[in-house]
Amino acid sequence: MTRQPLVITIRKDDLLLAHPSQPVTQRTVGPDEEIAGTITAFCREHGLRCKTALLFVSEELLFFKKLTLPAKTPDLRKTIEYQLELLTPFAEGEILYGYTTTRGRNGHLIHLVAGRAESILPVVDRVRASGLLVDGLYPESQRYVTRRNRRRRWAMILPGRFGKGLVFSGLQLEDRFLCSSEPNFSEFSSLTRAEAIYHFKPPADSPFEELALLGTDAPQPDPGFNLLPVSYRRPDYTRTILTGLAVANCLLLIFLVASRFQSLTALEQRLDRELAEVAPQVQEVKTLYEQHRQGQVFIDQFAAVGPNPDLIGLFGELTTNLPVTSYLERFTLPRDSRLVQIDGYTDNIAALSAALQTLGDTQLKSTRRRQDQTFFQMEVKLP
Amino acid sequence: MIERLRDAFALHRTRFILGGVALLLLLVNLATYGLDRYRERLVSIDNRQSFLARQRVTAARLPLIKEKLFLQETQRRELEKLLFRGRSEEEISSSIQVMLQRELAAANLTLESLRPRPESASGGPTADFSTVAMTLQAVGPLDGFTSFLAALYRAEQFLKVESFSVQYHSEDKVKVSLDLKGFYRLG
Repeated sequence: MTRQPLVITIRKDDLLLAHPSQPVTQRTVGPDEEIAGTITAFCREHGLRCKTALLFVSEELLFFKKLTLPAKTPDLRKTIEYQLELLTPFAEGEILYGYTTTRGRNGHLIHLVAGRAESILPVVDRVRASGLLVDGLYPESQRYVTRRNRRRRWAMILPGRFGKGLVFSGLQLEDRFLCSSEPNFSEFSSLTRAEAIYHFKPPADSPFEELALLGTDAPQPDPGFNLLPVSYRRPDYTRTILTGLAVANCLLLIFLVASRFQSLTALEQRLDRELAEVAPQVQEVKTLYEQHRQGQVFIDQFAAVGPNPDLIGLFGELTTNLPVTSYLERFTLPRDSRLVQIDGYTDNIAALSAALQTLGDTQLKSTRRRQDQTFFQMEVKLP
Repeated sequence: MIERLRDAFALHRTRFILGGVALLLLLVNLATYGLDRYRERLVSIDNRQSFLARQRVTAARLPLIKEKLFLQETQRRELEKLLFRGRSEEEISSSIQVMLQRELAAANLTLESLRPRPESASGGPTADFSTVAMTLQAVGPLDGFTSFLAALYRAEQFLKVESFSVQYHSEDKVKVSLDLKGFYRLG
């Protein structure tokens, strides 16, 4: 059961229903036949569950024109639309048209395809009335544009009162011309320089390839050749959904970025606020530290001066501990020194020496005997 | 709209491609710029957080430094009481001399000379106080000298005995020579 779109070719006098992947499976619908029932029967007979149809218009019903517009043409669509009656032989009535553009050296190369709406749209209406959705309306040649030839130059010959030769480069139509007689392969090949040439009904033993071979592949028609009027086209829900998703993604991305930056800004503001709150305390600490430092300088300076020497205590100890027969002549405390130099004399040097032991850090520097007295010089280290 | 865009793309394929590349480059540059700004903000926030943590640690020391400062102030006030006060160095020198003479008289010492001594440096350039130096010579009994020293040491203001010499003078008297230094603050 395939769900590929049913292929319907609108011909001059009838319709041709074709299996999407088996082009030889065909059914002709006459002008008086009821389309809906025939389509239903065709689908049921061949196991198709088609809900859509891809319509192709026989090249016999279409007019093709190749033209060049100046490179500086501001709006090609409007230009073509305005000149449509001049460019096509359809002077009256609505015209269905499609075109492709190629930028050339001399301007824009336009491939224009046009057809009378009055001969095509009624059939389209009948197909739509049968319950099928119409995917597109293309020239018949687009039925055979498939991915098989997407990388090569190729050509095809379609039937008609005059055979139609179409030359493609990959998926793009390059040229179309009429053949007044049955084309010769070598001539056609040299004319078109095509790597492959497909014929709708190749003569026996000719190098032409069977056009029906291309019918087995899914067609890749050029959207520029879609002749379906805008009012007939189905809304492209996929494109709408994808566009919506893309927009939603962009909005979500913008929201996420904005949200992240907003949270960063909020964090920065909170940090700034907390810094502002703690700043006075920090300033006070700094001020107090500076006061403490200055105060400490004063205290250290005073401490460097040091206390007064304990001279009273020294005198007391000397009075208490020195022998009574010892006499002191001179005390001297030099500047920046803690050694008190004491000169004196005694008649009992042994007792003096013993007494010195009790005076603490004392040194007897010299002794000299004179006039039955022992003159001494000693140093007492102040605490 | 879509068909117009398709037509335009078909006609100006090269321009569209170049424009697309330019747009892509622009988006990449904008994204790079945005990412750089974002990283800069993150670094800035990180620095600010570290700074805030340090500030909080500093602020937490406030009670401690207040307590230390209070103790220091007490100590400082006690020390400042030891300084002489006056409007000029001459006034302070004079008041020191008056005090010394009073104490000498009280200690029964006879003053021979009392004069200010030139001082090469007075506490250094950053000192909170200045100094005045004196040289004193007196004659009297030894116990008078100890009484004088005791009075000197008990005085409210601090006079530093830098050097001294005591030598026998006559009978019960000694000759005393003292180098003293007083500390003062003007004002």
